[in-house]
Amino acid sequence: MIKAVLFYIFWQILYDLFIYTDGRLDQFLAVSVAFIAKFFLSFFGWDISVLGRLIVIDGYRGVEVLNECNALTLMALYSGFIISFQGPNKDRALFILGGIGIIYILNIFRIIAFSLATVYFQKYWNLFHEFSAFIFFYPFILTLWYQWTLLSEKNIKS
Amino acid sequence: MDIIKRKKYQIVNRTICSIVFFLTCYFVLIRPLRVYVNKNYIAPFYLSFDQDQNTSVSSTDRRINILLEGYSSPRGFGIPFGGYFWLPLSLFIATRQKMASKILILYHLLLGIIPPYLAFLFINNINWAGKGLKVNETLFQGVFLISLFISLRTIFEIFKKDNKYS
Repeated sequence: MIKAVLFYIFWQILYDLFIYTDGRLDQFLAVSVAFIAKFFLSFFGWDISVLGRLIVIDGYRGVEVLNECNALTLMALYSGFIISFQGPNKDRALFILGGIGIIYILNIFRIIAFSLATVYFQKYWNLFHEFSAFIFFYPFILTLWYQWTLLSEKNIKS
Repeated sequence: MDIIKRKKYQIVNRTICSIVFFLTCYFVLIRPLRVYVNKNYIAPFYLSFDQDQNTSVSSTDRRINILLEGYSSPRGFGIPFGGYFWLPLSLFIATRQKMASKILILYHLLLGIIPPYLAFLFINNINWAGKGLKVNETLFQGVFLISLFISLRTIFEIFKKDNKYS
């Protein structure tokens, strides 16, 4: 746990000094997620438009993918644990890359859900937004962490 | 048969009871108390700095946000002992993990001291304190997730063990 905490401190400093000031990674994650969410919603027949990070179902409130909503922090939190917990390096790389990829996909579903929430339950949008990580991310992250610790323990025993 | 069944689901029942008890306490007692303390004591202190032209301080029910000139997003801190404390604590108590509970309590006690002090420094234009507040936000989420992971894993292991022998 101490290793993970140190990783999180290191990550945040790295983010503040380089990634945030550069801005390209945050921008890419936010814009691409909005674009793909638009693609899916259009596919299912919704009249929807995208302007950079802003995604709007015609006639309803827009959803803006801010830096805090692009799931980058969660990707770092997820990876930090995998890096800190011992295990075979090849599997570690697989877990990190696969996990980050799935978090990215889950974030697309989350943004789609936020857009649909503006149509179906705008009144509860803030509540839904506040607890969305518990629905979309945390169960997945905890399950993969569990799988990783099992793999790690199996590796130590053998 | 009944005894076996009871043993089989003992940990599940204990977990559900613990979550229901602590979340009821949280929503009935602790959450309103946090809002009261923030509105009457913490927010007024930080809002008094808002008269400065370079500083914009805002508060929500359970949070203080500070936006300084030159920063694109606000930095701030939440009032400790929120849901992110009570949920893992209820699971730790259900699994009787005393040491983990103590560490979590200590961490949240520190959250009541360090982030407010960093916010005070940040308002006074000490830049590294803003970075400290950001680190705190990430750590906060990390500690919550790891606590949840440790407690849920323990519950799952106990459940598996109980089912194996019964």
